[in-house]
Amino acid sequence: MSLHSQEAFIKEIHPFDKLTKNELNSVIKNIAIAYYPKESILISETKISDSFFMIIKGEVNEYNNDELTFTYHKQDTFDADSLIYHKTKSRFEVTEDLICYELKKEIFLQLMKENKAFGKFFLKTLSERLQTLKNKEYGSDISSFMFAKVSDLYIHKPCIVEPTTSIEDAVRKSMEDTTSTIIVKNGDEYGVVTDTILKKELLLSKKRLDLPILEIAKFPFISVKKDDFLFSVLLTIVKHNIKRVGVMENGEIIGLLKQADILSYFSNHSHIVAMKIARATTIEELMHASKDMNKTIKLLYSKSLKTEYIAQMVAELNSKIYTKLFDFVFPKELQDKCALLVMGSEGRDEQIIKTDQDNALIISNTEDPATFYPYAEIFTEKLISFGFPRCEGNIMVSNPYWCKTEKEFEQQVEKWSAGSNMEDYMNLAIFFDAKCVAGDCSLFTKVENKLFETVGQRDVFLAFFAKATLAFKTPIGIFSSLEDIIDIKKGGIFAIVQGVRSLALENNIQENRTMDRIKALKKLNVIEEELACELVEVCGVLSRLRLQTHINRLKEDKPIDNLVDVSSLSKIERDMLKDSFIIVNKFKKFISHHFHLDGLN
Amino acid sequence: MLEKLKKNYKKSQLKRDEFSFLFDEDQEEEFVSFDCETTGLNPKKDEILSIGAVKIKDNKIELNNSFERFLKSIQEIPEETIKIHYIRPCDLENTVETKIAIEEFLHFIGNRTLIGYYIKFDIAMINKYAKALIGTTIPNKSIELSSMYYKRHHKKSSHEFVDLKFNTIMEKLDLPQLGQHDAVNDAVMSAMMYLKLKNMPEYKGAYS
Repeated sequence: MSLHSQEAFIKEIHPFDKLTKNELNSVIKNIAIAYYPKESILISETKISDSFFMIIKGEVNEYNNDELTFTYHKQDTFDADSLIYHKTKSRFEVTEDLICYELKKEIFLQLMKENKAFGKFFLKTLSERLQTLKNKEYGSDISSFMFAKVSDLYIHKPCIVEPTTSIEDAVRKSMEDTTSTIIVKNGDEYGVVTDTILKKELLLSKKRLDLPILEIAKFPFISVKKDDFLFSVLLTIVKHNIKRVGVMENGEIIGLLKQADILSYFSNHSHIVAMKIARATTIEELMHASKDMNKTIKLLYSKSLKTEYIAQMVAELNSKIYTKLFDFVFPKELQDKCALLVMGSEGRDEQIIKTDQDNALIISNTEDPATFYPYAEIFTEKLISFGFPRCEGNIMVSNPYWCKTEKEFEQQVEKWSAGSNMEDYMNLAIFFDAKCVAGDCSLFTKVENKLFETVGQRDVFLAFFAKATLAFKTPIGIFSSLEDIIDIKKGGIFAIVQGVRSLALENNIQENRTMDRIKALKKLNVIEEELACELVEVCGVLSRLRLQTHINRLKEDKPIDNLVDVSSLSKIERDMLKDSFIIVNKFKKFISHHFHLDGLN
Repeated sequence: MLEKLKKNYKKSQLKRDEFSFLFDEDQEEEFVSFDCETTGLNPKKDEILSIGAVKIKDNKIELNNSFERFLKSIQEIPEETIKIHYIRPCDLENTVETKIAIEEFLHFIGNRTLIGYYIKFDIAMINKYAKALIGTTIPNKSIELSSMYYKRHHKKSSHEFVDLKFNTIMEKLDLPQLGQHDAVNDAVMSAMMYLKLKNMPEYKGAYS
């Protein structure tokens, strides 16, 4: 028999690559090629097929209760479930003329039984699907609420006074502590004085201000333990009809929790970090807030929030940290004589889990940079202690190369854009992504304008700059097969970021985020709508996969990298990755053509 | 009527009774798509190098019901044809006697309708041997894919040239190429063409 091409095709389909030669032979001997026009129903509740389908060409949609659940393309297979269980709730409908292999049910089931690796694949996807269904049923939000504890929330600092303290002094202290809740400690007992009580006792009952606070305190102050579940706290609050509870640890009140905090826990986890940042009065407190960031990211991720939004939120919070630390470290009189920039992925708002820090300080022409050096040193040192990893390339304010006057930066831009080595291109690229987060931002605007002025005119520079887009090979084979381990940054994200950056530089686009740049380029008709939409989608897919990889590394306590093990991905993820890389290649071609890179050496 | 007469005449010529199944009433549901690789394009002079065939039943190409034979050639294989078929003389070492291969092929097709691309040529090649073996040419009905395609092609004018090359049709119908052109692959691809065309309406426009 010379059915070599059939064999070659089938071997490309995962997990048929796991079959032995004999097993593959029995597959070849028991398949048919079938053709189904559009709209044919292949499998439904009332029509269980006795074949396993492998798509040669065409497209099939799977519906569950008329809701689209999967789309199958070339080299995809279905439907193991209905073959194993003889029933299904799904409907498989041809959406694009289909040519497929049909493998007889008995042979398929026999292979599943005899070849473990082969069988495991289908059982794995099965359990994955069950998991998805389960999540749908219970709702992942509710479950994370169920398991959240008091300690997961921001606990407000308490204002605790002695029972003998006068009302006046107690109110004064509470105002200093910026809280409206006064806690009175009487022996082992805690009581509370709230705004409502103060109004009632002072304004209406006209109690004197020099009376001891004990006179008006309400006992007991209802408290919960630090490791109580949040939902039980909510029940307590509802039961007693109160707005706040104390938080106890070892018999002592260590803080309090407001009703609003619990209710808004879900609508916005991030506000807790935001509040910690806003409230921090020392570098130490700011550091704690900063270190909580990864926890927040994990939560947001587990709630399937769009990666783009997570990135924006994290960027927002990070820039608050930068601003505040700047405020703590630099003396007041220097603060409006310089501008603090964050650059690279941070400048584009695309760094979620911290992998790097790129920052710079532009100093007013009237000042001596040396005055700023000692503070810049402290700034960098603190950032590292906050969990912002040290930049390998030393692109940090502590490096005088990145801490200089406006004029020096303008000259620097000139030098970079006349440059001829990769380092110049990359420095310019990083600087092009900068955003100002503290100080006098008008210093930056001037340098940025200079950058557009200088570079926009230089076609040859732009071409060499754009060429970096092609620096790494897209990790996809000729039959759209994926490599086993994929560097998702080099393989995809970098090409898009650099290509889009080149186009943005060429077209004077001031936006920083890659997504926004793509949209702006579409508006200017630099890239067609179709490609623009595809790129936005691909950015979403790749950044989600990268975040997933980073979070897995954090969980495993391993250093952060961008390597994705393809075999650990689900079928849908693999498909999305394949499609993404096809579009990355399409975009590379576009960049090549746009900047005439073929003629470049 | 004429068809029937022809068939009866052929049957009267049949020398070997064991092949009378060829003349049974047509099978409605089953078809055979087939292709011969030959030493050239002249049925009188040239020889069959290999035969590939596959059965089609209910919209399905039964790969498990495929047929492939390499035939012993009397002639040298010309170099040009080697380039097309990739059948080298050494590939023909596992060959069968032409007589046996043709008999097996007749058993394989039975009374089914034959499907192919420029099938007249392939049938003529088979008939050259069949005539000698069983005394008559084969009576099977046949379906010509290029004319099936032509009838469904949307013509923009009455003069339009319709490209009927095999690869063009495959491409226009958006069918996957199955690698190299050997007899079985070509039979399978022809079968795909047939299934796709069968499900398409004929073009009834002004220039059909």
